[in-house]
Amino acid sequence: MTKPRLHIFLGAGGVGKTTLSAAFAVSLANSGRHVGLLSIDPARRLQQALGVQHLSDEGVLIPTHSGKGELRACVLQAEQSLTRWVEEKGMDAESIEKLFANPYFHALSEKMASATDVLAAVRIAEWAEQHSHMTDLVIDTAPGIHAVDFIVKPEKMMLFLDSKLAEWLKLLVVDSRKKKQNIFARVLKTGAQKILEGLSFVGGKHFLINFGEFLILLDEILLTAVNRLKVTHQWFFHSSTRFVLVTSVRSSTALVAKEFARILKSKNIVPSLCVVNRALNSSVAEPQKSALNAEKIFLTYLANYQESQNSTCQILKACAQKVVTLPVFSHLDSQTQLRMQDLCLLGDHLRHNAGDILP
Amino acid sequence: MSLLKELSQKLIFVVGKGGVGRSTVSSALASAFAKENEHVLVVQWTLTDSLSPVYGLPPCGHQAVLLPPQFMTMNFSSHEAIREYFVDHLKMKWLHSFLIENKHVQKLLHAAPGISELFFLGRLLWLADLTQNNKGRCYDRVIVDTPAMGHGVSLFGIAQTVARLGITGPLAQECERVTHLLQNPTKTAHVFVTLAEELPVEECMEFIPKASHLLGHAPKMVFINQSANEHFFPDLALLEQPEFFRTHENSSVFAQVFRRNFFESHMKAWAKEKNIATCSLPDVNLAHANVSQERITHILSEVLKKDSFQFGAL
Repeated sequence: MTKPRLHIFLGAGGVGKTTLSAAFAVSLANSGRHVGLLSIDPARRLQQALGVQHLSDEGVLIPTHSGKGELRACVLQAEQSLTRWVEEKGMDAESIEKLFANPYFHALSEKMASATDVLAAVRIAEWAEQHSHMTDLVIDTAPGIHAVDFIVKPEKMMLFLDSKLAEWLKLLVVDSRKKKQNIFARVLKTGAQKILEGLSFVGGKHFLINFGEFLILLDEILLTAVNRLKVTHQWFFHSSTRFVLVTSVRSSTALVAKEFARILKSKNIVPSLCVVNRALNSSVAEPQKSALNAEKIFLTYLANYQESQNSTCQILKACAQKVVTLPVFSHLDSQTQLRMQDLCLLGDHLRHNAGDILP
Repeated sequence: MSLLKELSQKLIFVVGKGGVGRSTVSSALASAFAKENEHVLVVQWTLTDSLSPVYGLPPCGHQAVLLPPQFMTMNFSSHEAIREYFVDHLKMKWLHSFLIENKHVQKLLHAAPGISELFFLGRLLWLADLTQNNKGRCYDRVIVDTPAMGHGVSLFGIAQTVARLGITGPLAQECERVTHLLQNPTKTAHVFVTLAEELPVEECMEFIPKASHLLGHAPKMVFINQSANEHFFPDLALLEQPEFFRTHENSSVFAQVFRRNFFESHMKAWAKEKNIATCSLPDVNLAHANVSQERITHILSEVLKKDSFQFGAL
């Protein structure tokens, strides 16, 4: 089975990642491709950009205006994903009840924004299983530092779930159920005992048992999750996968992109493209003598804008195979509602500028 | 009364959507407090420190460094903070080397969500509340350049969440103290930063109630950054987008600036209804040519110190 192409958009907050990745997906679908769009931005505002009121974790089919292709968009919601994974396994009612009452499960599904970044990696592989006819999968990531979790956490999660400590914690629960006097002593070797005693000194025995119970209840689900993580992780390295770094004209966003490039390169991945969003159309002429103060103000503003754009492009040169700029699309953030055609136009523009990089 | 007097709390979280200028506002606040002879620290938690390069210095790490406007800054590392917690705070170096540095435990720490967040809050507690007793030195003010909105706000609930996992012992105490500190309105304040644009304003309106609920108190201030309002720029207020702006090849850039006043009023009206103070900060790029980030921070810190501020004649 051939895998769909993976397009991953990364960047600092506020550079327009969500809109740009949505626009890119719309444009691909409109030219006849079968596209999935996955947002893990916890601010969950993709529906706004697509004009759909209720994007779910399962995904919603969005009509393309060319009538060709297919666009299915979803916003990752940890609670919905976890619940679906539990139901898939056909667990008995008692276990499900126990699981939903487990404080870890509760915390993971509702309280921790950072858990979402890990679940996203699982969701990517699941999405590919569910929609095998898909040609492209577009991923919008969390802003800044949290997108790094999305890249590096899958590996770290796999390491932990395969680790001895995970085994020990499960044994601990099995033993505590037998209500033996010294729960650490029974099935565990001395080294393992010491570590568990240490952990229970820091957080208490109860905490460890809750955690072990969580691992046991989720055993099958975690196994599937680890397998999916492995699939996603390998997929990151596939030759068809594209990492797109998005920045604004501010040089601080270029420094974030540079840091992403460094992290990716340490994993032998070279980002395909840097996109400078909301750039000026052409270079600005020297401020002219002008009658109106307001005109002077704007010419000053433009000159500053240009200066900032130049230094951003300078930083980005070394970060990816190609650097492209996208102009300000004024209708994209006007007071009136965003339209699908506007998104498509932006996406077309991005694909045109990127050329062969985003085929 | 000056804005700074309104912020009497020692620990100040600067919250906002990515790209709205949280770091700029954090450092402007820090500069302003430093000018009042306060000992100020800006805590960042980011890929690379963005404040030191503004002053031509290399990015800092977890150890605090002094910046030219006489405030300190650091970039949080959870690895370092975990070591500090066990070695400096609990005074249990042995536990750290035997337990935390164990390869199996390291795998757990790297994988479990919420761990870094918890130690981040623990470090803030230490910096804002405990250093005095332990080392005789103390910051007058700890300003937190909080991670972007969703993750930043979820931070406020993390200690309570972890506390419910059934923990006891030192970690439970830590969670309890952190929760106490965050929920104490005389010690902790949060301020929001937004741009006068559609999405940042809407995110503010979505997250202010969430943050207030988790902390048990309302934000002290909403800063509207990069304002082009008539108070700062009377020349722009007179215009109804004449010919020059409509026909210019970069008219879409101008149109964005003109739209800011609409969103600024929208934000102000919403905040007023909720009884939350707002403070507009001028877009310095509209006033001065070749303006550096250093200069922007300096000008904004001046604005914060005054009741009213206007740019001189251009």
